[in-house]
Amino acid sequence: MEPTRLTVLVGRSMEGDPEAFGELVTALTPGLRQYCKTFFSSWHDAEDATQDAWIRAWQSLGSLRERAAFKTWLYRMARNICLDRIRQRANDQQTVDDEVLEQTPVPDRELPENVAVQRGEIADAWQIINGLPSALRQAFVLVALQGMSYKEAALVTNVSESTVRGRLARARNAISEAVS
Amino acid sequence: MKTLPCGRTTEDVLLNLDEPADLHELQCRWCHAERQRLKDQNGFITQLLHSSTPEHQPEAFSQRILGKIAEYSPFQRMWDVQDAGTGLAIRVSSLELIKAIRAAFSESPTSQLNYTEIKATDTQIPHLNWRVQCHVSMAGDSSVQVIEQQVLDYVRCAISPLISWRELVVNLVIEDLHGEAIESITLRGEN
Ligand SMILES: [Zn+2]
Repeated sequence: MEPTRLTVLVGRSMEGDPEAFGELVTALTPGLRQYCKTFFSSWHDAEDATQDAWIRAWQSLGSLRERAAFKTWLYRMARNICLDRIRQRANDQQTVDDEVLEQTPVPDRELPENVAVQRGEIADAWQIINGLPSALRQAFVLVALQGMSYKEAALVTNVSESTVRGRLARARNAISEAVS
Repeated sequence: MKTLPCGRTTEDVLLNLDEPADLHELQCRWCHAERQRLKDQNGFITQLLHSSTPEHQPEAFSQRILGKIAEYSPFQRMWDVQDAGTGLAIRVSSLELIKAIRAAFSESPTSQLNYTEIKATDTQIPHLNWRVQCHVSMAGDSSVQVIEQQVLDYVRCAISPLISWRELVVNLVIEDLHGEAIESITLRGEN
């Protein structure tokens, strides 16, 4: 979506116009849904979290300080929702640290360390990245897949730009070793 | 991580993959080949991730969200005003006034209204004094001087058919394409 269009739609949404908000949802959901997928093994869970993120965004629009930062604000909200859900599922009385969660691969751990696959054999590329720790997966999806800048990805994932750079390099290396 | 014959590693190349190649890489055939290999693989996997993302109906999804958020309609401030046509006391919402302002801006060749807010600044009823916040980005060939007068006119034309008013203060914020503020100006009008 053109930045000028995005700016107007965010402004109109903040004024309370649901139609403009609907356009934002249509335009940004495909990317947001892919980002949420980095936290779960099923697309169903990813879509559920995406939906909650949009509802929370609508309810919280009044607290958005910088309209220009809408997208990273939205993604951060989605990230918090995903982490909360994982925590709830862990069904653990202890607090699970974000840092720990982000080192964790999604349950259906498959690749990449174990098996290298031929390009032609890959049925679902998401299976390949599911083997990476969540933090690496997030960096890869935000920057390599969706073209976010390092700075934006750093804002979304709450780390420094150099951490994003390092994580992305590790993700790319693991993927390159997994796919021959 | 692989070490290349020149001494650099795959990691060195990976860390700068989104940056242009540095002088060493430009002159080194091993680094050059490694960069190509990694870029190619990266492109292959991202394409595959897109194509193995399950179908999604954006319009239907959006409709579902709109259905859900209808329960949480944002609070709209209501104002006691005097109808400009009939002189009767009526109530209007902020959104009604904002929609009129948006309509006035919609044909503008020189400016785009990014965000607006309106509120009465007096305590009497009906309200006669108003402050309007207009965040606007302007066309490349326009200038602040041109926009200034236009913005005041747009706001005046938008609210005059709806409500009687006496004083109008417009806080004009000029923004870039992304909505970052560049300059702000206060404009005043009287009726
Ligand atoms: Zn080299």
